[in-house]
Amino acid sequence: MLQGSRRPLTEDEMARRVAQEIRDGQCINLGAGMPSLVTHYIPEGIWAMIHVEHGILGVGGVAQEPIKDRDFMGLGRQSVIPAPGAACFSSIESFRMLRGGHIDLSALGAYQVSEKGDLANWLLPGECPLVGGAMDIVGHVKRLIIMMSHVTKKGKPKIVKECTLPVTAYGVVNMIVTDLAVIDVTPGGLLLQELAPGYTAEEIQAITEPKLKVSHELKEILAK
Amino acid sequence: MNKVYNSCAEVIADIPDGATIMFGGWGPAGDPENIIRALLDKGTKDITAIANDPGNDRDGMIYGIYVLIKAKRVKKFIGSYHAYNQEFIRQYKAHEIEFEVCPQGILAERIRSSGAGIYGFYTDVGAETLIAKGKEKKIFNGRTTILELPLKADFAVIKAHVADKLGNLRYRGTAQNFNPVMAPAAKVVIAEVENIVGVGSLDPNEIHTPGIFVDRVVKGEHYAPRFQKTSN
Repeated sequence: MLQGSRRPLTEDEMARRVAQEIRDGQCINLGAGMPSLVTHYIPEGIWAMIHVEHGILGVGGVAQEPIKDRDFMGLGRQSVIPAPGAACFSSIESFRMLRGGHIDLSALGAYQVSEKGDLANWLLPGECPLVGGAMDIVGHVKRLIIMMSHVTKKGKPKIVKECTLPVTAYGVVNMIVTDLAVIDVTPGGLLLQELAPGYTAEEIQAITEPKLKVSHELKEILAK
Repeated sequence: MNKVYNSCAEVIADIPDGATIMFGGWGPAGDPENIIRALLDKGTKDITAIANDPGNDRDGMIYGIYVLIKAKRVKKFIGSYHAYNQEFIRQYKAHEIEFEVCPQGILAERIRSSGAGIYGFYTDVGAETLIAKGKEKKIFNGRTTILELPLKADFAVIKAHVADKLGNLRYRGTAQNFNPVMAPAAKVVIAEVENIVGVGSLDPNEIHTPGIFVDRVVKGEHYAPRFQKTSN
């Protein structure tokens, strides 16, 4: 393990780590909030088309003052610039891309993920349901990465044996990137692949409900 | 034939209280903001609203049907996402508004099917969730699906960039979203546009929504800026 200051990843570092999963030529969909940061960290030399559910494939960046255009919206009400080769379309076409399995990778947030890759990300007790496009996306996108804090604000595990919150879809998550670890969801269970700087596998296990297998190649997350 | 009306007040004059209305737009993109303001001014109430989201007023930027929600004109909202609209969340928790939640792509398909003569469709989206409650289930290729039914409306109010006097429409960028989906799906379809051009001015190859789906056209009176105050 590398020596250095012990600390959780920032949201931008998590986004940078997720961006390392993007392969050249892929079409990717990003959830609102933290996952949308992935846009800024697509590695040099990787050509990827970013899909936003309200109807654009190919987001080139966030528009600054002189060229802001109210008809080109990204996530989070930013004005975006279409990338060369971008296409704009209706909600029907947009979700045809998602449900039809044409999108290679999606990164979304979550409240809970189970050891079987079940996902809960739409309904908290006593709260107003928040579905958006997530239910259409999960289970149809080729690869689903969940980005979330490792534990709740009260310190409870968000990676659980069985979801106790209402489930969005079962067995759909492929990878979990938290502020403390990178975990693959495999048919044999959860495989701990990477750790935040200064953390040990034992510490991560202590705040993770299901038993983690530890990769033979366990390493520190490279998020710089 | 001329489908063009002189003002947003005039174009919505016959929308009664209790109407079911589809509203185009996704967040701040492509919402018929001038017609929404006209409905607010007219006092139309007990609306069943079908829209992606109930709008918002974050960062001092008002968009979508927020103003109708805030004025308690909407009795039921059918949509996918509340965009953290605090007033909507408050009304929902206080049982002041009904909310039929629908996954966004399925919302679009339910609207599309009613305008396309489809009586229902099976999907696995949400089939294993609370959304499936009360819906007919069927298994295809080992996968559980649920029956989703079309959404119909008395009126659709949509936003396009440009129309001709026959109601042929073109959209711009991400302002398209639900607008072309809703155009064929309501009894009376009203398009608010930024520009109206003469018949023959639009290239037939570049029309998004053919005028057959559009009953009325009106030029929006005022368009407010729609961006975050701080650049990111």
